[in-house]
Amino acid sequence: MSRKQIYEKLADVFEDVFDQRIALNDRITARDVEGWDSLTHIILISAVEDEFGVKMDMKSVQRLTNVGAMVDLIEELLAK
Amino acid sequence: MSLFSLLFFCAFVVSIGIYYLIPKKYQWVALLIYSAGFFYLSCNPATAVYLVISVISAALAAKMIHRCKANENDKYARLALITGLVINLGILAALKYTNFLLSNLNSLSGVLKVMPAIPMTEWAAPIGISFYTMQIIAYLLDVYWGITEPQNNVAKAALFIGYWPQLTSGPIARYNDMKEQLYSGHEFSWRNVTFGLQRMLWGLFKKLVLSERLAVMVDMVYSDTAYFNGIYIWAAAVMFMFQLYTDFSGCMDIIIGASECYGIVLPENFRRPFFSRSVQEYWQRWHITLGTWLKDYVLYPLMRTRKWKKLIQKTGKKFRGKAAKQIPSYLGMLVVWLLIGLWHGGDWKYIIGMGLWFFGCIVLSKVLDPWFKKAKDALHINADNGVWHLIQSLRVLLLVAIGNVFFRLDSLEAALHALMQGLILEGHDSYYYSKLWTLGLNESNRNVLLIGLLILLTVSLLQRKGSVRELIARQNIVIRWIIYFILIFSVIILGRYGPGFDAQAFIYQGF
Repeated sequence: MSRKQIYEKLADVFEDVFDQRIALNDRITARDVEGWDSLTHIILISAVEDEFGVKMDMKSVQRLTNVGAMVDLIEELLAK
Repeated sequence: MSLFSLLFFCAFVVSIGIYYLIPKKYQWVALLIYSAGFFYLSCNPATAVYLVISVISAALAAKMIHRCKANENDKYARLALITGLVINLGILAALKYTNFLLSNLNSLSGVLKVMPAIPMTEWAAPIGISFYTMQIIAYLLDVYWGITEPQNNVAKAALFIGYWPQLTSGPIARYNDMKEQLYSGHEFSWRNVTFGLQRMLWGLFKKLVLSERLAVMVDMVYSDTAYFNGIYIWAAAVMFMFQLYTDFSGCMDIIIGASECYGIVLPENFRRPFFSRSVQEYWQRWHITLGTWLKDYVLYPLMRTRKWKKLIQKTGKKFRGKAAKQIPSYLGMLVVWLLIGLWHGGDWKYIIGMGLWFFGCIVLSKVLDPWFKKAKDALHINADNGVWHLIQSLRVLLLVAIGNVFFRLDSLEAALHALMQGLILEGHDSYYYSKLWTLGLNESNRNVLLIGLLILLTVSLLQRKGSVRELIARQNIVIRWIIYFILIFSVIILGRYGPGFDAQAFIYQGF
């Protein structure tokens, strides 16, 4: 799956979790999205895992600092 | 050992001298010896047996987890993890919560009349047990998740678990953030020592000048809630909120400052909580390391279990729209808030006041959020407006003050009684209200407190723009030393300590 395709799918997941369409890019962090708190973060992770059929470990979950890091991780897990 | 005793001050100065005189590779040994000494002087030395069991079990479990993971034997790694967690949580639960369990059992058997009352235990707990047990849990889980490597040297692991500044009241640190700092040694740095001492001085100011005076006011009202009612109850509630903040954050300043003198940076526990716009934000700024720990080691692992995911699927089928997403989140939050309440102590007053009350406030604000937004739009309220921010912060302060009434008073019944007394608005004579402006302090002490709180507010406002210590360091030598002397002499002259006055222990000490 290309990075562009990952972004398209990820935008759908974000819309489902945050109830709004967000123009995603690598630099977006939790501070930029209303309602992205620690609780929503873990719900988002679960939704991403279900959508892409991947499993993120706790080490990775704690290190996700922005959307770019999340896309990198999805790319890495899909490649395995 | 009290952090404001002369013995502590002398021992601390000597400890810094020795620390920087010995070779860097032995500095961690010096810290371990200091920690053992501090432990010996601060609590019942016999309780060291619990700390030793915790250290050895954590070190062995971490080693086993790592070895099993390396051999791709996840089953045994998990077994080692569970063993380590059970031993450490078992000690904590036995020492801190047995009496809570027994008192509930006794109440129940009293109602059902099935068995005689079981006597309460008088088991002494080691100082800092709640804090170091949380560090151990985080350490074991981090090793299990592959976030960190285990420490093979048991004595070094002991230093991480029992590092003396953290034994009083935390902060709860992570092994990954501490290992380099604790074991690699530090060159003498004038900046580290002076900045550390400044921070300790600021902590002493908060504790001895402000918190101890606020304690007098709070004690006056809460010692007689049958007499005081109405506005006195609310005044005491607000004063206790400031007392708790100046006490706990003052303690943190002393701890973090002392550690800074050794060149070891501990995580921050406070970020100006009274500027928060919501209860949720308040808790992200208050006791930060506890909140982060609960998020990373309870909430996230819990919400990633298969059972939890099944629960989400079930609620998704039963409920629609937002409720389907929110219900599992709220259940996760409920677990965290119950633990926050229980962490404060084995008593229903903590579970209700420090746990469920704040859980209720946060859930209610989330549920009502769409209506709040509509009302805000209808009234054309600008969310960035300073006055609106102030109103939101005052609302948070009121809600926090109510929760803290449960923290301060002796029991759930006493707290509920005090809050009911707060709703009584009967008329009194002018003598009754005459105490309102001093609440047990004389006028000069009241004025000292007001000026001190103003200084605290000014520093908090300055901190929004950056480090106040850096700001002071940029001033010329005359201004710098004027500030230091004012602070030193205000602590010496205005601090409530010394013969004839027994400064209260830190509120969070002994947790």
